[in-house]
Amino acid sequence: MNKIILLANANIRKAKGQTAILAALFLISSMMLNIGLTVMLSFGSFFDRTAEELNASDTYFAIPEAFYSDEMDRYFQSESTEFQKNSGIVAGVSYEWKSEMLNNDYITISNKDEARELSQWKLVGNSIPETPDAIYLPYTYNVVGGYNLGDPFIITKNGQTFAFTVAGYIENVFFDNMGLPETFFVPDARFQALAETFPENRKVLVYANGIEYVTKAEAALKDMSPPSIYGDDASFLFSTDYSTVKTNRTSMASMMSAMLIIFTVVIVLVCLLVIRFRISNSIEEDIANIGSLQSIGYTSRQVTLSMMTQYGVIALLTCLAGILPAYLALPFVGDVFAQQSGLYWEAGFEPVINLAAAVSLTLVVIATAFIAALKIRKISPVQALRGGIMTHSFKKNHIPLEKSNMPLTLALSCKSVLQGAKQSLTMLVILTAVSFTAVIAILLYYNSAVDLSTFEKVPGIERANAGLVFKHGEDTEALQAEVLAHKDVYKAHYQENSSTVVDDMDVGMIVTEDYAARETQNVYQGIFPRYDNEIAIAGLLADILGKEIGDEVLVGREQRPFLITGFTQGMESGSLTVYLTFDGIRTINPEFAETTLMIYLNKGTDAAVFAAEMETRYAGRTHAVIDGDASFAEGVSSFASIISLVGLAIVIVAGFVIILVLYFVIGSAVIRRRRELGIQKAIGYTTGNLMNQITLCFALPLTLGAVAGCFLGAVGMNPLMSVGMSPLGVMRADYLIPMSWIIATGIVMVVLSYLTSMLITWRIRKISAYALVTE
Amino acid sequence: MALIQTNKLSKSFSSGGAQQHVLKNLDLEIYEGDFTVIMGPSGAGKSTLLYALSGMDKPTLGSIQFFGTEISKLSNDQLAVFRRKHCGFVFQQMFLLDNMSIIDNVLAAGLLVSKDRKAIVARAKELLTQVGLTEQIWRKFPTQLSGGEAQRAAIVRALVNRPKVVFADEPTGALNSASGTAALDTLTKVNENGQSVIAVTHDLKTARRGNRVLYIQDGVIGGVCDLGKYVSKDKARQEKLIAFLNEMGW
Repeated sequence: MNKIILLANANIRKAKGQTAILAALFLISSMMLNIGLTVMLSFGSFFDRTAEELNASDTYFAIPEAFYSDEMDRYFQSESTEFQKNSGIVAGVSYEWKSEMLNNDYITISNKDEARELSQWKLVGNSIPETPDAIYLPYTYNVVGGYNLGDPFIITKNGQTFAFTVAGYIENVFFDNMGLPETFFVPDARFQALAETFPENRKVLVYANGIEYVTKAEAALKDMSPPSIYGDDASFLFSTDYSTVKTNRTSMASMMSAMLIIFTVVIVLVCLLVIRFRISNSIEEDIANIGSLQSIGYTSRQVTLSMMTQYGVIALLTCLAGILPAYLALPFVGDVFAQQSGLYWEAGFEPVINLAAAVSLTLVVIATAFIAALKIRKISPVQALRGGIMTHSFKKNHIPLEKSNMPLTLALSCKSVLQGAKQSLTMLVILTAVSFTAVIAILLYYNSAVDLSTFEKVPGIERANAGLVFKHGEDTEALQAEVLAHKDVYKAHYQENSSTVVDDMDVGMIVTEDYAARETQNVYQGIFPRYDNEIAIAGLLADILGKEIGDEVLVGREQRPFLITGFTQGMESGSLTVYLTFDGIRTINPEFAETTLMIYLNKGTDAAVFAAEMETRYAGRTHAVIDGDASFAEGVSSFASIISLVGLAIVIVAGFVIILVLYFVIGSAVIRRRRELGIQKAIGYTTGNLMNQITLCFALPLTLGAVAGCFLGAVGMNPLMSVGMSPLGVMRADYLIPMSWIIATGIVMVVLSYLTSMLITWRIRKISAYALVTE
Repeated sequence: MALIQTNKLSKSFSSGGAQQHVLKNLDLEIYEGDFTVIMGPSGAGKSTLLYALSGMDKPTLGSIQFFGTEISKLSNDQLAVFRRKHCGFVFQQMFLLDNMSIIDNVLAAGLLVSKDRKAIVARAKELLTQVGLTEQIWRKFPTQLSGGEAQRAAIVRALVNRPKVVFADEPTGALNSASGTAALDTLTKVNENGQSVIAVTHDLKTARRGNRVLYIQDGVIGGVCDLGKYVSKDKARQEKLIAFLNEMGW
């Protein structure tokens, strides 16, 4: 064994530069794999642990205090195993966010001093001594919003201003960026004062365990409420369950970790190709040494083992070394994910994950080295000592110079490409893989940072610039006409978000009259409903129910049959949503009234200004006036920023990988062709001639690889994202594929490759013809 | 007329921190049309001199005028261009490009200078035929050829650009007797056609072909022997050469 280690050590020392490059590639792979695996395997369980620590309930309900009754109390007593009631104020307010005024349509203000057994909250990090105006904000307000302890926090509602001082940051389980309001905690006295100021916004917050179907419970609670709750207050009876919240708060982390792991797999595949290439080369270069070793008694097995040890040791050491930068990067990753999760995630030491990653990568490398080194077994000592097996048996003189009309340098390059078909193919595959990944990453970046028009549709949520939630009993038709008459409005229609039961499953429900008027056309197969017996259902729900377009589903407790007209996609309501017309819902619930007017403004109109105008115009007639642009931007920006950051990181790493791989492969080629280059120099080729010759020789497979990678990336982006995001309800992704960006990516890849090649081949100047003949 | 003229030509190598002076202040002239032979004991600096004269290596000190051009001041790339135009090389190990057919080896040098593809292809074929390589051999790769055939191909490569000088470093060193003679015949013919030849050798048969023999010893020219025009089977020439070499301590 000592001999094998000695040989491996000698090989490593002999090829220090190449060892360093391989080590860098493995270091990157290991770092990304460890980050990806740690996030994937521990972020979800971290959320569960946090929920356990805070004793999060299975379900959550926010019921208007005015409607809360003894009957509801009895319902919770009979249907749940345990429940807890708290007070809250749910309201639309304005406050500063990232130096701009934000109109947040729904926030919850809770009483900090109220006793809680279920769904507790906890302070994150430091806090300052409590004062009467203290407020405790979600952790995201620190990480993203930029608030510091002691900063003033000023809330504006209905023209009234309420000043607070940031006293600490909190974590709680029941809020998310997809629908549930963020919760601010204030001391008891301040809470009571606010509750008296806004009695109509007071809610009873119920946390309950043991309720199987949250939407069924919500429907039952609505039944216990006055009829008017259907319609004007439907949107004010929130309910959700733990799994929905968890999905919403951890889905992006899961997706991003999957992206990192996929990218790592690409880099590892590139490393394996490089190792295979390197071993083949070293067998050819060191054939005489191998012969010497065999002649003094080393077996082929021992020589093979030394190569496996050489690459195995490099892989193992660098994979272990990659764990450290991964842990250094994880706090930043945690901050990025906190934008969506709102949780302070401190990745713990995960030795099992780290060791499993290092060992599995090392084993794959050893296996590759074993396969690549198998040809050593075919070499006899005598053959090896005589200069070896014919490492290159040139059988065909590709592009004969006497017949070719190409310029000499190009002709010689093409000869090399065709003669070194394996090497060219390796380069082509590597560039295809890296370019493919870079294009996917660039497209993610483009869709999440440059043109968000498609990205915004991923959640499947209809986006209007503004919204008015009218009180029950208002003449909605007349109000719609009034709003439409406004000079800044080009479209307005009613759309309600509610919930129902479909084939005994609790689902979210969207109701509108004319789906063609929606901006978010998230039907990916079939059409939206047009008649009162038609329904469109989420693709994910269709998969669960095993339904096809044209099948029937039973809707509501009345189990009325509806005909499926189309499948939708989107992350709304945990990706389980159905779509009906107003006529359709009224066949189940004749009382169902439209109250939420979605308003679409002319280009250039400031939604905040418009919302303020509407608030004044319809004062007392609305429950809420919504600045849709602001609230949507806030919701999407966290997703967008995570994806754009990861996309950008992958693009940078892809560029780095290309440089490293080219450095390795072209560097090896220069060393390998040292004799040939020396001869050419002797007969009058300049360094420039030879640099061009070698660079062009690589340019062909590199360009083809970049073109193939870009093409596959452009074609494969949406199918790949559809597969990746289908668990989130996005069944047919439709991201923008800007050809100019893809072409630019391809050009950058080729230019980067070309420049790297030129830089590496610059070392040819050091190969002297004299050295060749005197060696 | 002096084709190459050196002035205080010196070449040193550093080895393990110590300076090794291989050529020491050499002043010599090589004449146009001569078949110059450089002889001397191993390590005397023969090959070093050859590669310095041909611009393949740069002197440490001194100058080299090659047909009026001061080549010791040229950059590596300028030297490469200079070599491709004015020098042809024949090496002991042939140094043919293994990945090319024989004719492509010749054309890889020829097309570097001539833009007239047809003319250079025709010249390559003519030369290959002249040295006795058949069309079948032109299409073969160097590893498929015998040593003699490969050396003749290397000579053709050296001649294809009509260089002023053909530099030969032990041109018969790796060949059997018959192949060596054939290679020397080719070089002699080249010289008879007016091209200069400078050859480094240990071999008497090769040295006999020269009309001027320079004997180098410890980095300096120990002596010069003028043999006159080569005539086959000239016994007196052989004796004169041996006497000179004996005098030099060969």
